[in-house]
Amino acid sequence: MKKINIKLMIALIGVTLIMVSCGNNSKPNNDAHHQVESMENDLSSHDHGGSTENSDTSTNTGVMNGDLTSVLSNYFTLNESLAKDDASEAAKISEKLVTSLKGFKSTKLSDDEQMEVNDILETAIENAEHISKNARDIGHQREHLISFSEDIKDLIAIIGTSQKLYEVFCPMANNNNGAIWISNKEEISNPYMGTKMPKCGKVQSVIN
Amino acid sequence: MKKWLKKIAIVLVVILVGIQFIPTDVNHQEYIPKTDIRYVYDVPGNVMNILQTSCYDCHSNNTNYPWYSKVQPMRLLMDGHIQEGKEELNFSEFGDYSQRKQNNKLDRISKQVKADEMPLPSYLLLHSNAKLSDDHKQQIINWVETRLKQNE
Repeated sequence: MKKINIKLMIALIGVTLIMVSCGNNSKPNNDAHHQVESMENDLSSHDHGGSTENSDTSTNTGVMNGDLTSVLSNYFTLNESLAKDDASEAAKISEKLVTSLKGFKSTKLSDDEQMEVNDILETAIENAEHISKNARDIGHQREHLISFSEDIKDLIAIIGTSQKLYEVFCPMANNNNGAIWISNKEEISNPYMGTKMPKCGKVQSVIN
Repeated sequence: MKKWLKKIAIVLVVILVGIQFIPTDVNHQEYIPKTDIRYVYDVPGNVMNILQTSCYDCHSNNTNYPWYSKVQPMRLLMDGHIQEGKEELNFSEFGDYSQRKQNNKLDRISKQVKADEMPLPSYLLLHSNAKLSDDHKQQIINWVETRLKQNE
């Protein structure tokens, strides 16, 4: 009787150990993503003014190939959440984004453009899904925002929009490689830097 | 007290034996398909070695199953990892990705490796040879950087 019990205990312990170690896939602390933590608050080296002096203007002929209203509205809310450092709200809104992206229909596009839009949507959905699954890791969410914002920009370029939009550039995002986001306001509210540096950014292009 | 413990022990044994009969996936592909990343890009040999050793078990169509993979619940956990891994990134099917997706994945590879998020710590527990040295990581990061510039 005793022998069987000992073997069982060993088996139990073994299984528990393995299950526990394989379950340890929770994200490591956010420090790896927060490059900003080590940076000095040196405001002199870049423009926080949000000026539109040197911006390009790209005009749309007014023809739209689909309705991006829902997608964009959710995207702007996502940026607002990240600007407030609210990762769980960002995750929730991203779930809605996934739905609106999946439901998006484009119209009157050439075959090439249609393929391009499909590719953009595929990547955009993946990015939005990642953001929605990382309510506890804002660094990871912001990483995906970099790529996601490019997707949104490219989508707008093909589909068109009725709103006046701004392409804003933050030189410190993406490990100082810089990143953009699209905004419906001229006022700067940085989703990458959040409350640490909300005004960092410069409008580099106007879309309308 | 002892009777109660004995009953629990028996239930556990029954469960442990029972789960051995759960159907398993088999992630095997004997050949390397033409969509494998090494045929899509001219991946340098050193980088390819690193990818195969540290990444391919979960991120390709061909897994090298170790001895404990025949036992549950280890197999279930592994199958889960492999399924998720392939969904995220599959080196065997890299050629099927759009250019945009390829670029995105390359960027993700570099970032995940840099942040030590990949390979998974739990995977490294039992595959210490898959651990990426700083040099390995740098090789991957450098290669991705070059590749992305070329893709522009």
